[in-house]
Amino acid sequence: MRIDRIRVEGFGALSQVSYTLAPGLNLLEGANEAGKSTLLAFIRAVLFGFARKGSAQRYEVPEGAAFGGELWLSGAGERLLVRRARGRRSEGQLSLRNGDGAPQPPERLDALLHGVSQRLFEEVFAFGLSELASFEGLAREGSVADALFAAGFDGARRLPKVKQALESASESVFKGGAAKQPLNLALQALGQLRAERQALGDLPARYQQLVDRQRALEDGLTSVRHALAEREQAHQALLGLHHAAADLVAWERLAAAIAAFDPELAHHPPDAVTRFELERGRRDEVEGRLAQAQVLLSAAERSRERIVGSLLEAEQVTTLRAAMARLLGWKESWRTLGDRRSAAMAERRALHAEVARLDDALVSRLETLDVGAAARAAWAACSAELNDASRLRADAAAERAQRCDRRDDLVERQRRASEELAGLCAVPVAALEQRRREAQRLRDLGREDAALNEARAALRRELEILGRDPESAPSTPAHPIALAVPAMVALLLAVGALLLGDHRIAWVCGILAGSMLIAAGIHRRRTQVVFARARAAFESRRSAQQVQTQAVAQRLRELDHRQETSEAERLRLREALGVRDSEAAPEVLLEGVEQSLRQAHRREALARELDALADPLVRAKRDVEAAEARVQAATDRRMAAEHEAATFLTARGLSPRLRADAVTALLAELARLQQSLRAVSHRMAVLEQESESVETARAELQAACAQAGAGCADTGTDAEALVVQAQAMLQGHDQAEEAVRAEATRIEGLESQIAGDDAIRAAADEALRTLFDSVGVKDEAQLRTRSARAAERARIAQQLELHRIGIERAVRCATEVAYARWKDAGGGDGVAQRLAELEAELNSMKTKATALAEEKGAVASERERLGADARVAEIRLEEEQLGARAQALARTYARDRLGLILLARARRRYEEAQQPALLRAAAALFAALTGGRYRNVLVSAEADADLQVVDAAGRVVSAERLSRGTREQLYLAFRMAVLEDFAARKGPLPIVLDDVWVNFDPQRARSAIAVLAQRSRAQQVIAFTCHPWVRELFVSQGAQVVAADHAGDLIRSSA
Amino acid sequence: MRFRFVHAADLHLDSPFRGIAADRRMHGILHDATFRAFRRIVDLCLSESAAFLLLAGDLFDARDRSVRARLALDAELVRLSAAGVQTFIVHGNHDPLSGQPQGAAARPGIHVFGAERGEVVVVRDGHELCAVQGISYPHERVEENLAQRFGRTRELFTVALLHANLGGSAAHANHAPCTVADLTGRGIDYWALGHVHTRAVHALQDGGLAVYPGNPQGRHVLEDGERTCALVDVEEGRARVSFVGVDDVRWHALRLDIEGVPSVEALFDVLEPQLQALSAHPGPRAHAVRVTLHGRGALHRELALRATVEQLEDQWREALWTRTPQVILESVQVQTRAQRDLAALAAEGGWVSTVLAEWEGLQHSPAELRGLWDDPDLVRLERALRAVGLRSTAEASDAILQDAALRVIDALVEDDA
Repeated sequence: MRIDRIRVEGFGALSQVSYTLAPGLNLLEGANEAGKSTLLAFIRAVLFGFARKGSAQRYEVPEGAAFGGELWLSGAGERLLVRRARGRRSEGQLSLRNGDGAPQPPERLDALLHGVSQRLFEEVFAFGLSELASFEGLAREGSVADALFAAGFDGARRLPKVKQALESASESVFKGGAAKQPLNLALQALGQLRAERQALGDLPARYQQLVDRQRALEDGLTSVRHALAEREQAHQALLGLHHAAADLVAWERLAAAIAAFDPELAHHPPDAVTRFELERGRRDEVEGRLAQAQVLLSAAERSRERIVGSLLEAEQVTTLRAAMARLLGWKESWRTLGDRRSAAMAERRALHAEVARLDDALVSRLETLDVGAAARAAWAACSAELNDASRLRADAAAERAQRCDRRDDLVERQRRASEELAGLCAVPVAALEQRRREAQRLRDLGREDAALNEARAALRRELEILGRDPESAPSTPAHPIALAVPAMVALLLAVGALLLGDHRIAWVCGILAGSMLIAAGIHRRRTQVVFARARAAFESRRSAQQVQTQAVAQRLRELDHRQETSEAERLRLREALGVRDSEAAPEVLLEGVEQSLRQAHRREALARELDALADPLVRAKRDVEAAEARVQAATDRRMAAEHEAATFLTARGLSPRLRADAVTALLAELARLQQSLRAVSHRMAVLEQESESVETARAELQAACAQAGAGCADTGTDAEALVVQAQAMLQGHDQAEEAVRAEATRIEGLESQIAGDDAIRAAADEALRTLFDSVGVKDEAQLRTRSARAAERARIAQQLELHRIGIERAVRCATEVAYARWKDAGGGDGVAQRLAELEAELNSMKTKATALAEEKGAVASERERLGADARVAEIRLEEEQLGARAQALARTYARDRLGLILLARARRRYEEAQQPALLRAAAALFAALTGGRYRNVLVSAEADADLQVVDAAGRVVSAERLSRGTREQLYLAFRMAVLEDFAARKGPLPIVLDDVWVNFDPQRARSAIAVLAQRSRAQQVIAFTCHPWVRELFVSQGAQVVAADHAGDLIRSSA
Repeated sequence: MRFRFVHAADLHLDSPFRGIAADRRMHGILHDATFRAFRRIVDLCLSESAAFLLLAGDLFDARDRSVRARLALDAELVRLSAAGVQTFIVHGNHDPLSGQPQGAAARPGIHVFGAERGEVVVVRDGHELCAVQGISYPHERVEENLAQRFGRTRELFTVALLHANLGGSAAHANHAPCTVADLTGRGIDYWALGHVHTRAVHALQDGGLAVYPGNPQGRHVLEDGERTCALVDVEEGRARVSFVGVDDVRWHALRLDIEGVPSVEALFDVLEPQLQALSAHPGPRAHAVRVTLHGRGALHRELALRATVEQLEDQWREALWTRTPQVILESVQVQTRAQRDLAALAAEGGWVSTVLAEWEGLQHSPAELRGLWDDPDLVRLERALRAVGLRSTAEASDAILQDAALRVIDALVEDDA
């Protein structure tokens, strides 16, 4: 691959410059700040992308200006235009096209670059002094062998740093011994946890022992408690006998006493006497109650007969009740009759007064006046017609005024347009537009003329420059007289010596003369050859210059012709426009024509407006006439409505001058008053009828009272008093009837009581007989004697029972059994002795049981503690956590150590496989660069070994002891070896070098450039320099020299 | 006659979870998980009216020396026994007979098989339901094929209770190794197996079934997903198996692709949908997760720093713990790669291609790879790991070598910035 052309649109200080490069050796020459380093960065940027924003290597130009440019590449039989411009991403927008201009995918560029990375390209293919010196930096930082990788291999530059990073990373995780690294700490903690767990021992076994021990203790405790319970039971039995001793003695005595009584007395009812007395008392009480009831019964029968004699006849009661009911039916009416009559009369007077306020004349005839709903509806229709007629007339008048305004407005617009039209120019628009086109052409001709004049002047200047003779023809070479004259003198001396006979001198002089003549001949021949070459080159340049002069003259003639044509057209146009004054400016002329054109356009617009106004004006006048007719019709309708209203009012005796709404209100009021007056008259008639009915009822009641035997002298005709009297008579009758019913009920009750008491007396007699039979006596005396005897026996039995209870409470068994045991134990003394023995035994057994229970409690507590202890689980969890962490750290450590091992192994692989060939190539190049001063390079595989060189004498010298220039030649040799290797393996790429030879002496620089020239046969070399002497060296190697000056884009070449 | 029973194995009661850097707040859940899972098994027996419960070894880890494990086991089995449900137990490699304390009293309704094959006939309501045979491990290591000692002895549905490695599962120690052929033709209707923690059903040619119920509670991330016991219905001599989830803390291995993720902080947003999906699991009380970051992306360089990952773990652990249900973060694993094409690097040549070639050579030479662990530093490391009983790093030699190679390549071709 090679770069054919570079075109910078904008990159740092470079703007719109381009360079054409040759396939082989190229030199871009320029002073400091001419942009050489910028150009190096540009090539890198176009191929691999702009540097990040903010980086000094980005060379970004201000926003708005073009940023980036193009490289024309060729290789593998094809061409590729690579363009990079500002894009959304920081690396810029890349676009590729082939030789035909067709877009290409980005992979095409990668293919041309043989997949080389940006880093490798910058380190090895396109480098300056700083990159060259990086080898030295690496050599200082780490081993020389590492630096050798850096020089030769992508990625190896970072090898020392990577190794260091891995070493420190692994050491930060783990170290031998008792270090504080995290893995060491985790392992130590893990060991401690393990030891703690071991120290806890076999907890389940311990727990099982505790279980077994607890079980044994429980068994022992159970047997002790069992024995204790037996002893306590015996002790309790003896203690009961001891406590019941007194009861047992008394019980023995009373049992003997009770045996002396008749056994049947045990069944004698203790309440026999009480029951006898109770029954007899009850019989006596019934006897008394029966005598009292007979007396009360006789009195009640007498009272009933007396009351029945004072009752009214049933018919009288019925008549009295009916008459009183009728009068009470009119009760409310007769009480309020007077008040209602007075109220009705007052209301009628008030209505009359209200009507009189409206109109005195209406009072007498109001009730007959026609102010009903039909009359009011007729008035409402009449009033509505009056309002409609008035509104219609007002609307018609408003419409007439509006249409008059519209008509007047149209007349005014017509007048103004006519006046403006009369004042405008009458030339047609089409003619004026033609004049405007001619005026514009005239102005354009003037501008073209000025441009032609400038072009002609430029061509004349160029012709003038070409007409000068830039260089003189090479002069004819001088004759080598300086050698010819001494040769002739020597020849003459040789002839003279021969003549004098000195042959030795003659031979010497002869040879000397011959040599001089041969030398002169050779010199002349070489001079002639050089002259002939210079002459040929001169002739070639002169013929090219002549061709160029002829071309410029031809273009000048063409421009003259175009100017003449232009002048003829200008004259024609001025004539057409009628411009006599040749000095009149075309712009002024054009302005005049355009003004006339604007007036013509305005005139046409006014004419169209007048035409448009004619029809609306006619329509507006017709509209005004129609409105007038509608106003007249509305006026007629209103007059008819007013007449009808006057007729209505006069017919009712009302003033025709009243307003329509006042009439409506008056009619409504009169109708209301008329209705009220009629209602009052009706009520008064009803009151009169009520009064007559009341009087009739009162007379009937008075007659009924008299028939029932009441005197009416006190009551007279007062209905109120009459009603009170009748009510009193009826109430007296009702009370007498109630009293008769009460007496009958009382008699019935007394008869029932007497029957019940007879039955009770018979039952009491029967009970007494049964009692005597049951206890086996015949009378009261026998009953009382037997009952006393039975009570004595019961008292003794009760005492016996109390002692029995005492005994059984103390010994908790039947009294007879306890008595037998007591007797068996030897009575009170025997029991006391046995009791003392048992208490001593019990105390001993309780002590033993307490000891066993305490031990069992301790064992159970320990067992419970073990069962609930989560410490083992905690330790196991912590062990797992720490183990996981340690395992992860161990993996990290192993990874980093393996990384180092991998690097070392790869390194050995490289050294064994590739380094020797590369070293041989580098040694050969270094020998060439140093003109054979050094002949070999030695690099040991040892990590800390030094880089050494072997000089021509076979001495081994450390690279560190070499001068800076020689060291840089050594590094250049390594790079060139790598380049050769890469080109051989993958293919050639351009080599770009930025003044890497500034520290070389001229001879070494020449050698270096010779090496580059030799390399340029296989791959393109592009070198930058600011030194004229370097330029000369490159020229001597046939390089194409390009001026790298961003101020211009001239390209100069030198063969 | 129809009946049903429950088959569980590998309870590992009170055994710790592996690898969780949990703080004290989480200990309660982690400690109780195995116990609660076992309680669910017992609840299942009671609710499903199971005739008996089979426990196929590794009820706890003898080396844990946990008293709590034994007490909890005892308490739950007494509960079963009180309800009339029998329990049959064999011991496995983690809880061999030799590791049991001497003198433990027998309990009614709980039958522990000894080191010789035993058989018990299960009777219900006066009818013989089935015969249960079983063998316990006498000690930790049993290399004999114990399956060969089993065989039908009567015309009853016969169950064999055994802790064994069927088919030589590489993930588990090869105790009592046997094959499907060894189990076939012995007249056993149901092989109730334990030892392999992943549930599996093997249908035998003789019509029998060999079943691993799985362990009821996963204890590390490789035991992720639902953990179960087996509920077995027997009708007319045929067994039908269904697995019932009983785990209390469920493990999940979550993977997170870093491609396109702009920042370390944004990773949690990417993780969120996977966390929300955990709520869809109704059974467990909490979840334990390992988050593995993988893929290529701009975050790779940042994630390569141990401090970044540790900080991320701390932040996420706190955030996950406060969720409902609670989520316990085991760890964040980084398996990310830089955005580079190894094939292109190899093709480009240079030093990196030499490193790649060396890596490839080691991948194809196991002996040479093993030889790398002869490096004195690694020897020292391995000795230290062995001293505390940790696994050798050489067990994962391939993966570690890959990590090392990729890390070296990343560092070698890293941008200068």
